[in-house]
Amino acid sequence: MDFLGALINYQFLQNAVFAALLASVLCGISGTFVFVNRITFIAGGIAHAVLGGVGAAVYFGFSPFSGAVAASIIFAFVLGIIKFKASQHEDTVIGALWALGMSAGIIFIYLTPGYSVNLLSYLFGNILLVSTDDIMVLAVLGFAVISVAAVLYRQFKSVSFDLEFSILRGVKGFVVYTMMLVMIALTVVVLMKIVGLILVIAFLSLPAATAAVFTNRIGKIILLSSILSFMFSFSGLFVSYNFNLPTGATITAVAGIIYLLSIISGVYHERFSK
Amino acid sequence: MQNIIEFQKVTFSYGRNEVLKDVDLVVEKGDFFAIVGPNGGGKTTILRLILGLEVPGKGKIKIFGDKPDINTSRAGYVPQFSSHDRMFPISVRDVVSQGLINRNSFFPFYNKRDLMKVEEMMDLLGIKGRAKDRFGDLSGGLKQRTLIARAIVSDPELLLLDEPVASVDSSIEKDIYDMLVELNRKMTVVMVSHDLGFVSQYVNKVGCVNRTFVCHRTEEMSAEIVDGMYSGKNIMIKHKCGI
Repeated sequence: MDFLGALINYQFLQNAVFAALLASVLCGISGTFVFVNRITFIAGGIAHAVLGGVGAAVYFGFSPFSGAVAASIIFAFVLGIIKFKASQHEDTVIGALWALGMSAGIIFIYLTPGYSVNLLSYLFGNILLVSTDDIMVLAVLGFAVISVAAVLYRQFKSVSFDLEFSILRGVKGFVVYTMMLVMIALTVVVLMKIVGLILVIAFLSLPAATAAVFTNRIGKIILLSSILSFMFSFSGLFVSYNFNLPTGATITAVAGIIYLLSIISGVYHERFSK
Repeated sequence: MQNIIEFQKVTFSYGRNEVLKDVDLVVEKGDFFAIVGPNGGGKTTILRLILGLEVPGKGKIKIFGDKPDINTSRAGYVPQFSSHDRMFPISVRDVVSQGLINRNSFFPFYNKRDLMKVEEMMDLLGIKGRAKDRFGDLSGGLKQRTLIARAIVSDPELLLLDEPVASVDSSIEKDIYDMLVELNRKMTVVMVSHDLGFVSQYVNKVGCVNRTFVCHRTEEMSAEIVDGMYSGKNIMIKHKCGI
């Protein structure tokens, strides 16, 4: 059966496409702010720290997903506090949290009696296993992220460009910056389901970076990178279905290849237009 | 005359490093005040104290007769633009609009009155033709104009500038100073500069700061001193200010 035929017939593929659509919009929004603030490392730190939350939730008998949400929000706050209140080097602390979260996750899962959770499914995700219940949860998270972004859009933009000036204008820098990290953190959790924690970084940086080759407005980058994310996911899904390849990795590979091509074409374009 | 800024015996240290000691400073309404001095002399610290970004170790600071307030909308601030990311995807119009941002700026769009104000400012500073261009692509002079537009779009009573001509061509310097003189008709202007020479022609007061103290000169500055500043013979200034 070809891909489109399968898409019409199978619920799991429809769920996958819907999840991809939702994730793409979130990637477009959060990825753009990750890109303009140059905080890919922070996004990566949150992604890996989330595994600690998953592990702890499993150990204490909660759903892994709620653990992921709680951990992501806590880490967003911790990073916000470090940026504004602590004199420590931000990247050292992020690196420590990154490693600590991941090892805590592995230890908790190991200690959980009789629980044979497949760690790999969190690290690499599986868009084909997204259930209808999952879709509901993802939709709620997606709605939260989109609402935060819509309400605070101007303040996010201002804080990203010039934090000090924004604070002098009366913007609550700590609150706004931390909300931006929370938004990114929730996006990470949604992406965990789809491409997995390891590939989250790629998904939060590649579409926005690709879009930025073609436009220099934040609003347009959000729009274009959402569309690009969906194109990457859909074509990744298509390729992985036809060639029987792991979906998350295929989607990310497609994103990476298109990003590299767009940089090359961007450089080409610049050279010839001058 | 109302005192816009008043420092009384202000001392400030970064850790153990004493940057300012017993600084007295008065800026009156309508002044065009230049704070000059060598790099590391504490000029930028004075601006940060005025803005409330730093708190003095000892001494008193009054701004508009009150404690410095970090979010006073009565002061407009022009930072050094070299600190901004050149690749940041933002248009000139958007940078100017950010001068109107506040903690209640919710949802993506500015209202009509704000937008008109932004257009008016871009017109005033001669950057309207570049409104859609990326901020990072502008020349140094136009970037400075954009940041000045952002600082004054909210109609402040006090304009604070950190090295407004540090990274622009010397041919543009005069443009910027002329524009500040023009703005000074409506608001008090305080700028920091490491360049002792040119500023004296435009400002009505100069404060020299080098860690230990600030001294002011008004229009009464003798021709000799001004000459000294011009010909680069700033020995006299150095002597008087202890620099």
